[in-house]
Amino acid sequence: MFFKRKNVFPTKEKILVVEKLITTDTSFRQLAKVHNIKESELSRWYQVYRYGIEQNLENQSKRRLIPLVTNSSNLPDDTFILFLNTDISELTGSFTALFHNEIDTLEFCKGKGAMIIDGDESILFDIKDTLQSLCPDLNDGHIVFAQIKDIELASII
Amino acid sequence: MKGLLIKIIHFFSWASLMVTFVFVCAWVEYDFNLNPSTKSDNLGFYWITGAFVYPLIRFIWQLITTKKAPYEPEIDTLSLQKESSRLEREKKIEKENQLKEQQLLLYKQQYHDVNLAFQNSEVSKKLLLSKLENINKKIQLTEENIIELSSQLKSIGNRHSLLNDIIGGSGKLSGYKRKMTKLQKSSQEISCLLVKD
Repeated sequence: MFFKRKNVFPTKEKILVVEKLITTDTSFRQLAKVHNIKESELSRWYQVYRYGIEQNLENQSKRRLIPLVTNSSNLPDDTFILFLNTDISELTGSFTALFHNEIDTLEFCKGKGAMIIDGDESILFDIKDTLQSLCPDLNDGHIVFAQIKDIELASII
Repeated sequence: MKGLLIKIIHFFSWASLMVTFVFVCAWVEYDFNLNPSTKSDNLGFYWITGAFVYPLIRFIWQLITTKKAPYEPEIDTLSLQKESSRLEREKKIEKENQLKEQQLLLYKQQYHDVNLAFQNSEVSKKLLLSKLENINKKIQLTEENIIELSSQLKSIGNRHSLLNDIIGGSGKLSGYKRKMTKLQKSSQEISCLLVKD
């Protein structure tokens, strides 16, 4: 009666909300108010799901990336991934602690390998902060959040 | 489970706040000296008002927290990014649509040209067919003429042979005449000789 119930959104609905945000001239504030969520929450959704949505809207072909895990055969479609949109292969040394071997590290730094994230959206931002702390040259545009369904899985040759 | 727990907490908060409100109101009414034997006339009003205290506090709290949301420059940056990429996408779509329209116009023009060429070919085909028909008629006419001519030639040939026969017959007649005159002459000579004799 006096207050709105806080909504819980499944991933599909989050994607629909971000799609609405991307395709219309609605502001973050307006849409957050409509869906009774915080602006900061919506901005996080936007950062996480925009890659897949924009790819669909622009009919772009899926990017071919190597999943940097030991067993990539049973990954669900909505698994979060993180990859670089730039080539920083000369800075491979900064990220060796994050991967199993040097090959994986090199593929990630070249922007050809995707880090598989086991968890929710907030972990993506934690890893992004970690990456930016390890390599301050990386800006927000260099780090891309996506889901397995948004890329084409490749294997290491 | 978590939702149920939150609901229970809300319920107890609401109930305790309502009871506290009624108690405080009665306490104030009796000059901070409550006497359990006397019952206030406004007690019903206190209960009703008390029931709305907790929701009202939550409503005000929600207004404060939502209106005084901390300013986040990151959202402004994201908004700008979002708008610029949206405008870029719309421009791209508009460009693609223009290109499609141009292609459609080109296809229409090509279709029109092909249609015109086809119609022209149809006309020339009809013209050719009528010419062929005329030629055919002429050939038929010529054939009829040839047949007529050949029949005429036949009759001429017949006449010619008849004439030949006639010419050949007159030759024989003159020969006979000559022979006759010769015979007459010789018979005259013979008769003359006989007379002489």
